Amino acid sequence: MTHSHDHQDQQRRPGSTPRESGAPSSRTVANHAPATDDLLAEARSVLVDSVLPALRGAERYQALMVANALGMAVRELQQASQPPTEAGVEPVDEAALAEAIRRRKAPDDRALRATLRSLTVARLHINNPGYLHDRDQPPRDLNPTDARSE
Amino acid sequence: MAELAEALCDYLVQKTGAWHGQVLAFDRLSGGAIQDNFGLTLDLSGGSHPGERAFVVRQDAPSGVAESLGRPEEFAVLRAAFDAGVTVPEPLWLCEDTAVTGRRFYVMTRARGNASGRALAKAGWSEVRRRALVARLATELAALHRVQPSSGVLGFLPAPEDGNAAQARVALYRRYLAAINEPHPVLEWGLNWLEDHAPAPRPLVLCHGDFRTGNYLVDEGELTAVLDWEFAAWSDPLEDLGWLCSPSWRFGASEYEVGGIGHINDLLDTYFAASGQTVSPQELAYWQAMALVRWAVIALQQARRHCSGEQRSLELALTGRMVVQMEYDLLNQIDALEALV
Repeated sequence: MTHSHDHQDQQRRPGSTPRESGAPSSRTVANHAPATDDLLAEARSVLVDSVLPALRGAERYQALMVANALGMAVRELQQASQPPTEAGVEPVDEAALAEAIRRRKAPDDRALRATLRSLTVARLHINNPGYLHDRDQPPRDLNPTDARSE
Repeated sequence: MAELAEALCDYLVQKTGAWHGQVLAFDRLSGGAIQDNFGLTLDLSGGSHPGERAFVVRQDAPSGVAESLGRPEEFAVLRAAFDAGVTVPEPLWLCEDTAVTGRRFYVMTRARGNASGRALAKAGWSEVRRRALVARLATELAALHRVQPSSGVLGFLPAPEDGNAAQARVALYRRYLAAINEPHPVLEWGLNWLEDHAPAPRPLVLCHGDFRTGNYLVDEGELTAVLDWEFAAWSDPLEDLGWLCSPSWRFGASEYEVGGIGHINDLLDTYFAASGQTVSPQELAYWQAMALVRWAVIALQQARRHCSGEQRSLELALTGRMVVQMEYDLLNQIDALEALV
């Protein structure tokens, strides 16, 4: 449900040059405890609870953006570690779907709209679950800080 | 910075005919993604603007956005808006001689106030004050929209070829989306919907192109200046109204559909009173949907700047992750619009 580009972008270190397309984007060596989502969640907590209160102005805004990015990474890792059925989204070939809609080959019916909504809601669960209306709310809400998400 | 301030001071001494000028304050202003904005306060002795004077200098940035106006064109638009009675900083001097500061710039008066969308949406105003500010936004747009291509000014501004702004925008955003090379079925669907449900086009008028909370100054609850004219164009007046009312510009105050400030019925009532133009909620809702698609494709372009390595930036990267919010708003907007009919 997430583009491979996004994975690559998340794993790129600040300041490094963009990865060549087609380069491997992940390793399969398992880490020791704590799990990476736990590590990042804790890093985010330190940032929000201890660092942020001391910041003002542009630095505060930047720290909020970092917290926001970390929140997305945590939620995406948590979702990836769940069994596919619990993640709740059936795989959809979005490129084919977009092409079919553009070519007017996909009728604008209830099924199409349900698919579009579920794709969108699934992505919002990661990017900004607080933005979802009640009817689309996830069972639990990590309540992200939303710099750069207004 | 100090050298730039002195160069601008010398320029303004010459333009005002003062016999002496002193720089009291010089600082870079926020909110210029496309150009550099500076606040410059001078103490001028004699001339046309004697005493302590606060100016804003808008300078071309090294890399412009292709679709936005350059400083000379923007200066002309600002002049036309000023002459039409829109509340804008008074445009004073345009300098196309790059020998002065290295880039083209113009100088305008500095208006007081705050443009921060977040601050305005959180202001905690009374309903009376909110209605007054929304009414003011409506009268500002009505004044601007009285300027028509037949007036003979601003012939350089873009206009949709066949006068149909909605279909021109759909075609433009399709081109933008195709160039992004990333599948966005919701936006493709939204573009089809917008193509199929376009209301009858209205006569083209001068549109601001980015008329939203964040681009006007408010001081003590009063609008003091409409800013950021680089996206001005001849277009359907509903494009400005829809952009102002887009869910993307409410800064968390989602119950106030007009830019996080107030309500749509107040906006449309006053717009009608000031312009004689009746706008139906359906028509406005259509252009709100258009606004969501526009911001989504612009946000995708911004994210590409980061992902391509052209301009590595956390803010641009997060803007890419915000596109899904616009897609979600678009689905809900079209659902709500269909329920209106």
